[in-house]
Amino acid sequence: MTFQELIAQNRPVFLDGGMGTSLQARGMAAGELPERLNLTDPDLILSVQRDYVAAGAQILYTNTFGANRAKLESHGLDFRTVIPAAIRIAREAARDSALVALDIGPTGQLLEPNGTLSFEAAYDLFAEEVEAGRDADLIVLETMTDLYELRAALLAAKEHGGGKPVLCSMSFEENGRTFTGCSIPAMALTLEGLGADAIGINCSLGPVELAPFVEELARWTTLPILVKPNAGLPDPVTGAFNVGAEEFAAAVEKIAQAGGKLLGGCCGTTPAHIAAVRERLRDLDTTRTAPKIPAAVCSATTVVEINQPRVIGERINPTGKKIFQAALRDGDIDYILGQAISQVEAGADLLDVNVGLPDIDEKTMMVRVVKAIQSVTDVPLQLDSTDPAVLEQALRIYNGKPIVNSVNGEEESLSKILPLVKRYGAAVVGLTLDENGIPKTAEERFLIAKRILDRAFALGIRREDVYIDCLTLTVSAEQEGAQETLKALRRVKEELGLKTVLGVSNISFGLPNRELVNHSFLMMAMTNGLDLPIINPNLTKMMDAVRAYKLLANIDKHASDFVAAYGDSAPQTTASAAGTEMTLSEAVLRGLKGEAGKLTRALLEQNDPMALINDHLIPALDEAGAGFEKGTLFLPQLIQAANAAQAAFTEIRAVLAKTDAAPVSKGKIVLATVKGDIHDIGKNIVKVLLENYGYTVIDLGRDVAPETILAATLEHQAPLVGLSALMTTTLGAMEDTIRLLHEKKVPCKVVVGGAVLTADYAEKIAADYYARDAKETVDIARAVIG
Amino acid sequence: MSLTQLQREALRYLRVTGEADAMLQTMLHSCEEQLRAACAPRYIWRLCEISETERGILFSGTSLCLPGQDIRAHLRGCDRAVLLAATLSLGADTLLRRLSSMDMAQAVVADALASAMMEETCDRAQEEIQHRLRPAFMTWRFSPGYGDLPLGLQHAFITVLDADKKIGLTATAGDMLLPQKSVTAVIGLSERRQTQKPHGCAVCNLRETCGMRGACADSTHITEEENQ
Repeated sequence: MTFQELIAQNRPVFLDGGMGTSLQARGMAAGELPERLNLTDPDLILSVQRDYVAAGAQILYTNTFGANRAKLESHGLDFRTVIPAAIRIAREAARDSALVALDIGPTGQLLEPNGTLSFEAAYDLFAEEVEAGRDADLIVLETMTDLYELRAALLAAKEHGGGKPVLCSMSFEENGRTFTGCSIPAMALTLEGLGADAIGINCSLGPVELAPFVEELARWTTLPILVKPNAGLPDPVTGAFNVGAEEFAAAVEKIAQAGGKLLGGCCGTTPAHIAAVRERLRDLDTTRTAPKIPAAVCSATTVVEINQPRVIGERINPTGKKIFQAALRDGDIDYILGQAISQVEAGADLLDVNVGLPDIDEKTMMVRVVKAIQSVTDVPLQLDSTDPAVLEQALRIYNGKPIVNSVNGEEESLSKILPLVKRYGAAVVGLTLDENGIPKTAEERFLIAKRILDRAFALGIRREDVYIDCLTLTVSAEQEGAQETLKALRRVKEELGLKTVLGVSNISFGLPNRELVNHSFLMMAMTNGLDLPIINPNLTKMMDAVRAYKLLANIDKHASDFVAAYGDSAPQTTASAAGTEMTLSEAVLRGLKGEAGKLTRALLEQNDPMALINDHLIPALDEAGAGFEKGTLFLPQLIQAANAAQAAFTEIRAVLAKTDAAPVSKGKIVLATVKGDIHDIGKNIVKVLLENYGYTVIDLGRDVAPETILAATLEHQAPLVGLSALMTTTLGAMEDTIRLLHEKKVPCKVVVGGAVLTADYAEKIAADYYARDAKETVDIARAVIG
Repeated sequence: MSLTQLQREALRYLRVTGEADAMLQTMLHSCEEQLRAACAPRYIWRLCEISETERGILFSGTSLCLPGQDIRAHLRGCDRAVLLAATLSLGADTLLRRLSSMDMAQAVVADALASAMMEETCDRAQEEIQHRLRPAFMTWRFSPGYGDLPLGLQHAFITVLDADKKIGLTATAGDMLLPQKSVTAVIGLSERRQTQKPHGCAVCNLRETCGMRGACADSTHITEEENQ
């Protein structure tokens, strides 16, 4: 019987139980590699699996949980031998009574941004496991805790598995989240979208604790649900699990009633547990009414249901923004992250991400920016590009379920974009324009919307995943256009039952008091059914309109969000010190960012920007630095002062950008935490200080190879390179980096720092300088660069 | 505004002497609140009989053998030992990363608070062990990377404790623990009361150069008396 035939029956499908714990019960020591036994003691594996088949398991997992190259190599084993051997054993145990599933667990390494393994490298590890397991009947990706890693595995299984069914399961803690914070709805939205054949939950908890999770999962997926609970929890002294076979089976019955279809056990379960489950549930009817999955998108940790106006922040877009364009050209990701975080803090529910500029590599930049934004915010993203190749790359590496911006009624767009949306399980914005441009009337725009929807349906894209943009035209040019847009929007919403999206700011182009026109039009659009306004959330009036609408439309129940935003308890902005005249130096020394920015704006009206830097900012920072050295001021305050200076620099840069003057920089410094080291807080402190003394820092991040540091130093012709290492074990990498820079005769000085370094050691590894702390690094930069 | 115990510990790590000013106090409170909301401290432990061999200290029922003189000294007189792994979870890493890109001053304060919270979590684990096993004597916590116990053992600790599945702990190819605020350790147990072993700065490889001498987490235990 095939997997599809098993699933089609309205009876439970029985899986096997724990392998690792069964092997330990038969004498394997904790810490030994179970996969080795496929080669050294195949009969032992065979005996466990035969017992599971005898107990009624219809699908056997191969003993290959950790059989990836990275893990096995360190034990001197080759996955290309281990995996086929494991499949042969399982096949022998299964005979004709069970299917054989290639079992794939996590890589054992954390993926970016938490760890150092890249998404692409994880994909490669999984792809080769899948190929080595080609003789299995299906593929199981299990015990995953990182949705990003599971996405990599699922893509690899789909693209290298020759069409085998792929089952996915994750492990959740008591709080309903995985270790990386992934929630059940986020898992379901992402994996069903990507084409998993069954999804579910295994390990971590016992069957009683998992039942409510299964109930939640059943509300978010139409796929068959698989569940493999532990036999309760292990005792740290005896190692025994505390749920026996009958108790286990009784709890699994509740799981089946909640929607579980494929049922088995994980750690601590034995053939007796599986036999008890089968005995109890073999005749259970598992027919399930398909749930209605709401319109929603997600990151790994946050699901945004489109059931009320949700704000899409529009600021990550270089169009018409000089500073943003410069940041893209210089690869200044921090600037873009600042834009992301400030929009989220202002209340954006989602962020649009567009990095298209004619003279940059948009594909590479898109991947870099999406990964970076996802490393510091939880909000789902809208991937915005006119280039399908850019969109595809972004869709591959996005963690969660994004929105694609956009498809339109043109044949070329429909035929290129919609298949991508389907393949990666995204939602999509459909623009109501086509080969003939933007139609004037609501009727014509409505018809394009309908055409887009029909094409989406033909590919199997759900109605809930198509969001239509009826397009805002400039009211000063075509005054009748605003009403046509609103009319089309209402019809799309009511007659097609689709969610709607609209960029608002265009409406007021060329008019005075644009803000008034914008938030008025926004209010009208929401009243006509707009779900996803694309706006600048940092403009108070726009967010005011959204909050007021939600209050008046009875969405914000008990006005709780409204009161939180505007009531007495709302956070007040820090008032300046009793309204007294504060100097810029004082503001910097006291770490008052807002004040420093405001004072700088005022001073810039009458002062030369460079004079401001040299006469006000640098002396203030020096005074803070001196206080730090004397011990009257401590690290957090020193950094606060630097932050305040940063606010002043931002104002100065804005003025200089307007006048097209060359940006202020004293010179470039390359900073990196060396290869193998993942601790970067020290390096980040140094970076903040250097930047606020006017240096341009090329921050290469952590775990950086010597070759990368060499290349960046050459590319930027940096006169100074700063290297950081926290652990004794990574000092070797620091030495290697310095040696490489010397070998290649790079005309730069090297400063080193970090907890384990000493001046003597710095000298020994031929560094030019040793810096005890961040302040000393600044002094060294001044000595080297000026 | 009064400071919590955790905040006072964090100030010690930040080497702030004297009173924290109002701005710092506000930061400490806000960062502690954010940290407590962001992370879910977890730990796992396992009790093993131990025996001394030429290769090192063997842990029964596992494949673990700890080499070196310092672990021998640490466990001398003990017949059982607990393997402990603890982590603040990835929530702490994510928060620190987010703060680093928003406001480095807060990141520094939150980092110090997180280190203090890691110690607090280990102390709680140790209390549980004490309560459950009631040994006459428990050593302090000895970790891979201390003295001559290789850092490379982190992987073995994780495998033996199944700590990746149970608490989400991993190690990089360079033997660093991830999530970053994590600890693995060995605690020796004995039915006879004993004098506490060399500890803290005394066995730390960084003792010659460390700016935190006497201020870091481990040195606090130097003054501790025998366990009761």
